[in-house]
Amino acid sequence: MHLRLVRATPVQSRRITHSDDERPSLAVAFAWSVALALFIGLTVLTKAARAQTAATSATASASTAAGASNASPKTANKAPVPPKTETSIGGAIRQSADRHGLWGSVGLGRAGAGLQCNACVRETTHAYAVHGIIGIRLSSRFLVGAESFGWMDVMGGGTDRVARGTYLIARTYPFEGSSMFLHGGLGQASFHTTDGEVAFTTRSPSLSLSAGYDWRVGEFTLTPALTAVTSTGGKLTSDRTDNAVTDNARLRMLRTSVAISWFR
Amino acid sequence: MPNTPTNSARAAFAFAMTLALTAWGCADNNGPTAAAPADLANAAPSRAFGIWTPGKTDTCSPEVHNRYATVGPDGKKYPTWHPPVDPLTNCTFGHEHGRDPKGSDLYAEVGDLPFAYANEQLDAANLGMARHEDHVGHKVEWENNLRIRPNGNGAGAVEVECDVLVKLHQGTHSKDAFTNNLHELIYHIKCNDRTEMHVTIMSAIGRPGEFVSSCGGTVQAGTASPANAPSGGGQRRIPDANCVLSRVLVGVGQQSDMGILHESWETSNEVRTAEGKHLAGFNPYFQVFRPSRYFDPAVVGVVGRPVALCSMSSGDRQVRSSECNGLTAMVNGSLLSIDYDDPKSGFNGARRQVDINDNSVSNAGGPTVWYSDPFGRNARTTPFPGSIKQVISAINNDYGIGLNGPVIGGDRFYGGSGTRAPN
Repeated sequence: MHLRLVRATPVQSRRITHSDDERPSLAVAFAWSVALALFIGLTVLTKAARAQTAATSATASASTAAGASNASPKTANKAPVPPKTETSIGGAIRQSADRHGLWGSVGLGRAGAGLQCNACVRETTHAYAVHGIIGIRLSSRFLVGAESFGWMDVMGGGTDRVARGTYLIARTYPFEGSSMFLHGGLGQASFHTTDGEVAFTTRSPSLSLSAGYDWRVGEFTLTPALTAVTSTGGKLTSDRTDNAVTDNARLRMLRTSVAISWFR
Repeated sequence: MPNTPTNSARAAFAFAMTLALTAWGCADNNGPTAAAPADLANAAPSRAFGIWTPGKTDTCSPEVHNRYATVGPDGKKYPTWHPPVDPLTNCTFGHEHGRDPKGSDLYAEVGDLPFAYANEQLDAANLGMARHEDHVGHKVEWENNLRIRPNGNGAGAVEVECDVLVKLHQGTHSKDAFTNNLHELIYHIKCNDRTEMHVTIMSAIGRPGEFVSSCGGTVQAGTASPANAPSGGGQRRIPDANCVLSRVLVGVGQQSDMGILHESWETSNEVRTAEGKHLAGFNPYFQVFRPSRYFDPAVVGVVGRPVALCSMSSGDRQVRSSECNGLTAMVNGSLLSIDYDDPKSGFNGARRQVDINDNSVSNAGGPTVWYSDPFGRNARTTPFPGSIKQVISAINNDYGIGLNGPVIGGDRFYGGSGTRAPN
């Protein structure tokens, strides 16, 4: 017979103490996310630049040097394409930036997040979130790039929750003369939670939708935005045993943020 | 009106709907849950059927009692749950079986619970042992939508919702459980993490011939029946005289610890294959408050009666508790307690609770139907003499933490309406 005995006692709330190596791991996780987003962005830019280089070499037409702009995409005047061929990544980015314009954004916000599934804790907890975007402008009203966010509910409460997501995004400024934008992203999101004894993780394809506004303040552009994140649903597995509680755990998140953006 | 194609179509649709609704209504009425009267009439009685007889204060006849029957998986007729008062005749049975299982969300799947089916199968299993239990000890408890957070908070992510329907034979009125560790347990659980078990076994609770005193320590109580009963995990915590008298008979200014009159049967159950592979496990604890007995080797029959303590004294030590109010009377200058089986006594075992502990399933990719011996052992996929069908979902729900749940039934009281010991 099964000899293990468990005495039924009222559930005691436990205070979880974190070992020294736990919190740095969260930072490392986010750093990896941002690095991944940057890598994807750089890869996209490099390929675009190389394609452009090949085209310009063929025509070999002279043109004037490009002028940089620090305005938002709605007011930027794009310069003609430079004829010079670049093979390094830095050069490719410069070329792409010269032709299309780079944009980036780093922001901080507050988000409520939780899981949705039959056997999930139906709680939304709130914590700070950070995100970063890097991309190129395809036109004055259409931008593409890569975005990564991290949400860390790790400040007490006995349970640590971390959500992460990485997306390929497209942004549009739908209204002529307005700096209001909409952007959507397709990527992958994960949600990890632990009480210090056992942890559960889910990871699945994810959709991100944002609405925001580019607000020019001196040399900077401040970008307040509201972002909704959802995922298609995946296994919620115990990190200890790899057994799934459910096959359909979905992340849901609503994030408000303010970012510093730049457009080049 | 001419019979146009449109009207014909409407008529056909209406006829089809009528048939469908009629079929649905029939299915709803007869369902898989209740045994058909014809089946019951034709079924051979099990050993457990018809063994109850009314006591001096019970007003129901055995015939009324025997109407509450169902057909077991072996085609025999078994007693099943009934209310303490027959709603047709208003007669009283004097005992209760806990909560009406018809309210359980699992009832539609599992139907009436055949009391003592596992005992019957033990007879057929050719294991060289028999175990037959009385009727009144069968106690049902259930809860729907029971929320269980593994490890207390589910690591902030997991909250499993379960329907639980359980029946244990837990007699707390006689000397039976002082020595006998085999008691029938029916356990149904279905959760939204796909954990599902429908298991019936003879649960071996602790070791035969002994029990654990509520004050601690093992009490050797005699010889078990059957004498070759296997030992099991868990234990039966039962109050004994030394323990009870030291806590209940107290001096002036003290309060009796009536809480010591409490039994906790802590089961540890498993279904496993002949090769020893664990398929499913569950460890519910069954607790009874104010039973009508305690172990007293100093009296004939070794059964002490808590209600008798109300008139007992030792020097200035006596019971000092409101629970004895109204249970004694002065007769010819002597303080006497009411009889232990008087319906006025609150020591009748009608307050109970079940702790839902450790529901483990290790059957990923396996068959969901198994046949085990009456102890849950030697499970295989085909039936054999004395085997019991066990249904276990094809998952592995080991998340690294136990699916321990809350208490069920602790806020319910099944006494009243003529209910009395033995119950």
